Amino acid sequence: MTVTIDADLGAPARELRAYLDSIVPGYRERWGRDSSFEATLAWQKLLAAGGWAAPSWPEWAGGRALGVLDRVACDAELARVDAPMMAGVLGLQNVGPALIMFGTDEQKASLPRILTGEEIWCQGFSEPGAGSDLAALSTRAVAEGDDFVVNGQKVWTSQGMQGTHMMLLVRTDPEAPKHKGISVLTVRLDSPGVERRPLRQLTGESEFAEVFFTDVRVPKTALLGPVNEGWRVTMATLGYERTGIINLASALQRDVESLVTGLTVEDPLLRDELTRRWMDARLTGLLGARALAALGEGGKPGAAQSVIKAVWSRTTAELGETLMAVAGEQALLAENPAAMRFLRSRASTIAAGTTEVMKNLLAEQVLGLPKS
Amino acid sequence: MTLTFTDEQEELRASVRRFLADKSPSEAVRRWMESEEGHDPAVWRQMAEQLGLQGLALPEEYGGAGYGPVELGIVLEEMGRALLPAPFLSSVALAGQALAVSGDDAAKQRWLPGIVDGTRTAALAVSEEGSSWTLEGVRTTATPKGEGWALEGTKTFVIDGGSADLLLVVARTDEGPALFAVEGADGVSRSPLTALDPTRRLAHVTLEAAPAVRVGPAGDQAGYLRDVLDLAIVALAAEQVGAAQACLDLSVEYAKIRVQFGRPIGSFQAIKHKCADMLLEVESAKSAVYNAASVAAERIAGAGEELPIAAALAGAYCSTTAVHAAKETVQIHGGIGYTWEHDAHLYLKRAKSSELLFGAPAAHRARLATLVGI
Amino acid sequence: MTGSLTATPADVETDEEFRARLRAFLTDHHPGKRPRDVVEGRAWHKAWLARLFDAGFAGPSFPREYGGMDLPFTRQVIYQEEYNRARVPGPQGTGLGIAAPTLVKYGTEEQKQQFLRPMIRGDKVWAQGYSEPEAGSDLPSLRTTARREGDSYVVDGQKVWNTHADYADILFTLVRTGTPESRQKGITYLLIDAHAPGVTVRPLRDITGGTHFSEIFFDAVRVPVANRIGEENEGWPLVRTSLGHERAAGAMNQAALYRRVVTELTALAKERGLTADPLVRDRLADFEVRVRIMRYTGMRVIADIVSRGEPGPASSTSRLFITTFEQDLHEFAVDMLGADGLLLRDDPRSVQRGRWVGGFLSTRASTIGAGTAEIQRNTIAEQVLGLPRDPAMPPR
Ligand SMILES: Cc1cc2nc3c(=O)[nH]c(=O)nc-3n(C[C@H](O)[C@H](O)[C@H](O)COP(=O)(O)OP(=O)(O)OC[C@H]3O[C@@H](n4cnc5c(N)ncnc54)[C@H](O)[C@@H]3O)c2cc1C
Ligand SMILES: Cc1cc2nc3c(=O)[nH]c(=O)nc-3n(C[C@H](O)[C@H](O)[C@H](O)COP(=O)(O)OP(=O)(O)OC[C@H]3O[C@@H](n4cnc5c(N)ncnc54)[C@H](O)[C@@H]3O)c2cc1C
Repeated sequence: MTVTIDADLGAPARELRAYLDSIVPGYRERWGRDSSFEATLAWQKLLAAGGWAAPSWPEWAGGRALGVLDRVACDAELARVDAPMMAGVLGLQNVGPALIMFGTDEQKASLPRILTGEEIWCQGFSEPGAGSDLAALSTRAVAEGDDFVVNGQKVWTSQGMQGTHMMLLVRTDPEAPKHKGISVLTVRLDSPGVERRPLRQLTGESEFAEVFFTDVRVPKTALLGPVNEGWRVTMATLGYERTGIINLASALQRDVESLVTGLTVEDPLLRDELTRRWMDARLTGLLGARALAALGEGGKPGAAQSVIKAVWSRTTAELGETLMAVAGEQALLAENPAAMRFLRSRASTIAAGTTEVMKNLLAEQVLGLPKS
Repeated sequence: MTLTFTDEQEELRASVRRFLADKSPSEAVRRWMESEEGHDPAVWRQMAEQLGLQGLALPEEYGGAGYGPVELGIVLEEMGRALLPAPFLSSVALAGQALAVSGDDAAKQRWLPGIVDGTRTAALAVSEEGSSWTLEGVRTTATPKGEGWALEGTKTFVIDGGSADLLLVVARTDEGPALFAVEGADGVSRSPLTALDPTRRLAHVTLEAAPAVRVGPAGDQAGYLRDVLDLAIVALAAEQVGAAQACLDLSVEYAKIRVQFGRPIGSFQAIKHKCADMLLEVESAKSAVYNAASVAAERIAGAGEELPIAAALAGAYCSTTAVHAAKETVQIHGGIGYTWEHDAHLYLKRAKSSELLFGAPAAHRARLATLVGI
Repeated sequence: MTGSLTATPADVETDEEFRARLRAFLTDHHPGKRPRDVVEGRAWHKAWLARLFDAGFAGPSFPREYGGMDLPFTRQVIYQEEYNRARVPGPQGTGLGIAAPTLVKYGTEEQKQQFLRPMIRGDKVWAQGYSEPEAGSDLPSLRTTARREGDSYVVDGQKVWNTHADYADILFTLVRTGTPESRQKGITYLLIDAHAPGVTVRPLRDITGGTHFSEIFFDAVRVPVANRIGEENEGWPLVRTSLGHERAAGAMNQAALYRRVVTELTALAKERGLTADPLVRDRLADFEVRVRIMRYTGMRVIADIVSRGEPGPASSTSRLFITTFEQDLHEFAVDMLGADGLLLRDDPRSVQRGRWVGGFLSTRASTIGAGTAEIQRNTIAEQVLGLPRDPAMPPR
């Protein structure tokens, strides 16, 4: 079986296309290219209204239970109209699936609100002392009556300022080996004792935050999954959205292809560089397509899938530089899109697992090399 | 050729480093980069009064100390290391040196003393839209008018062009490109640019029948101007090397103390090898820039025919080194490296901007290829 | 470089007079082209080294009493410049660069008298026997044993990848005299007669098709205790001995050599009409940049030694710089030449007798032999930058 990114549209993608045709003009008229939180929230509400905010979720949760292939075809439709991000993307892609898999009925009640953006979830994983070594986290949750009392600090929390809720990783058993004493709590960020401070990124934007917890009382009913099994819960949810990385790959390919064809570059050295980026992006897309084909046949995506993040990161980072070189002196200006893109691209090899750590994992888990 | 430093030169380096650590630590850099002026005028004055840095490499007849590009390079290296926001590169290294080597006594007499004592600043305006740091790209014209000249055209990415008291402008005449001095606001409109590098001010300058005085040797100035541009490239390269060294130092220091997985990240080979490679590049870049500064000194003394080669070489290698070092510094610092509050991004922006200011590395290599007969 | 800090007052000759005298000798006595036959070539090489020695122009960094020239550092630099310029062959075998300094520093008077002069004159060829099949980067794990029996050691074991061992007379080796677990604390530095009974040298073909290195088997080889350098079990610290800063002087050779190579590659590119291609120009210019930097770094290190007695950190990275450079250069040359560039030396249509593809293959060893690039980076990171050691590594 061969699958390409632009495979024949299935019924769901056709339906989405029709829906998009009906909403995009009005949205653009109101919001244009605005990428503010309000704009992305408005967009999410529109999609949610048509039942398109999280089509891969099960139907009972407000999704359409789409399979991998349909899901990717739908994402291609969104890309076709250059759809903006949705405001509550972390809730839709990461937290929602965790609630679906491990949530109590009470917790699952959040799902419809995640779809509409009423609840904006963020992920409180990293701490000042626990980044790559996430399992070293030290934010403590101590059981006290019907509550957990939480103390500690999270950092670099994307959407930490806009978030209403957080999927919070805490240490519940300090005596146990480090992976075995972690639990997941679902926390309202308006709880007393939660303090947030915006963190400015190197781009100048404040897209992440540090979040402090001082004697924050969280009801025990907020425990997601079994106590002290937070590591397993986290890993399982990371695996849920296997199409996420494939979409990333195909998005990069589309992005670069449209970028490159939109540029007129005469300098042979720059043309050569751009062509390389184009090829890298195409190869990244093909890796995604291969992984997708395997998934579509019900198989395991294998090594092709495992290398995508590292390849994507590298290509994204190099692309940032190439575009800056193409912009030339214009990139001396802060508002130059290529300069901005270059700066943002520096996060691609850090966020969601640094390239160095990713490569360690590839070496150990895919190639079977001994642990250092 | 001097590739190593005398005790006196090392002492100069140490005292500049002390001064900058004291007067221009990171907090101060951040405060001033957000300010209107872009730099601390008090520090600028102290630099002139206490250390005489503005005049260090400018001729003694005009109040300077009469040293040359080698000493200037030392100072710039330290300034690059500290990311000092100040019109030093523009006023001293670019405009000051341009005047110093102009052979034009009247011009020197008129403007150098102010530059030397720091009471006035000057900027060198070369680039135009799409022209890069070349004479060939200059379209601004100069036509004789009365006693002087009138300039017509638009300059951009002029370093400190918004605040400089004196603009030295490269413009075309019937006899080829030449340098002109423009003072005052008559016919000149300047607009600040929002630069990617917040520690360096850039401006756009429009000249409409702006009155100007011709500066520099009589007759054909192509050779003179070529030297002026090359001296600028060498000066910038020295700054880049200082910034790259600072990045390496920051990275090594952090890699020693940041613990993940129960050990300092510097004990992981991925990090170790990055640092070793950075050292290799920083040391090589130093070789390139010390050579270039030394050739520049010879050039000022009337020899140094290799200046264009040495400058192109330093421009190409030091740019790449600084950018690479800054990128690795962000990476080695992980999430912290991506924040505004850490200095890594200031180095990244400085390095990336410097790479584009006086011609990208590929442009330097293309020029070098021609110069060495490839 | 002027001003000779290290020159002795007894020196009546100026640096420039010395340079002129050496240059004249090298020009007047140039041995011409190396015979193509391997055996004849070696004899020709030996004859040249002897002539050099007899004229008093061998062993620039070694003491006079053992046949060297004992030149001050600045003169060593001049020597290397001239030697390189003359394009005459250097020493045979690997002893002069590696073993001789150890011998000078740690050998007994008898040993120095016995071994140094014939090595410097080239009468005896020395080869290095350190690496073993199970001990490469981790040399302290070596297993070749030497058992003491009266006035001899009895050596058993195997060495491998030993350059020039196939025609060597003396093997300078590291052997285990301590317990198997003793690592660097149980290693002894031993000189072994390559022609002694029980020594078998088997040439190994390398990636280029040539036989530049060998494997060596020791089967109950008796070695006089008098051939031990330093004390028993104390050979390890002797391994990295160098005399003054002769290596820094030698580094200029590489720079001079590659200066020539880059010029030749550029000429070749022009001859084939390739320099009109901006991509080719860009790469050639990059090599031009790097080869010049190689020279400036060499000079900087030398200048630092002369003015403050110590080379700076640049000396620690120069080997890594050069090895990466030579690999990149040859790989680019092959790419630039296209399919023609792939023809090997014996093909009549090969480009310049296959030198570029040959270089592409042989420079693969640049980042392996004498300490791999990975190990070098570790060493730079730990010893120059002070980064912490990998806790999983055995203690040094
Ligand atoms: C834009 C952005 C958004 C983010 N969003 C979130 C979020 O929403 N929620 C959240 O919880 N976190 C978030 N993070 C944090 C991110 O997950 C961490 O930055 C990342 O995991 C790295 O951790 P660290 O920053 O502590 O770096 P460290 O782990 O300290 O790493 C520092 C350096 O050491 C290297 N290193 C570490 N361990 C090893 C090893 N074993 N071998 C080799 N090298 C190693 C790393 O590769 C890196 O170069 C975000 C980060 C960024 C940049
Ligand atoms: C052309 C040539 C000539 C030679 N001549 C001689 C000679 O005359 N005499 C002699 O005794 N030997 C000689 N050698 C051998 C040479 O010294 C060894 O090959 C070298 O020390 C590497 O050892 P190894 O081959 O066993 O590789 P290994 O040590 O097995 O290394 C294999 C790979 O693992 C990597 N590695 C090993 N340890 C580490 C670490 N701690 N961290 C990261 N990476 C690591 C290496 O970098 C390498 O990439 C020669 C080799 C060559 C190629």
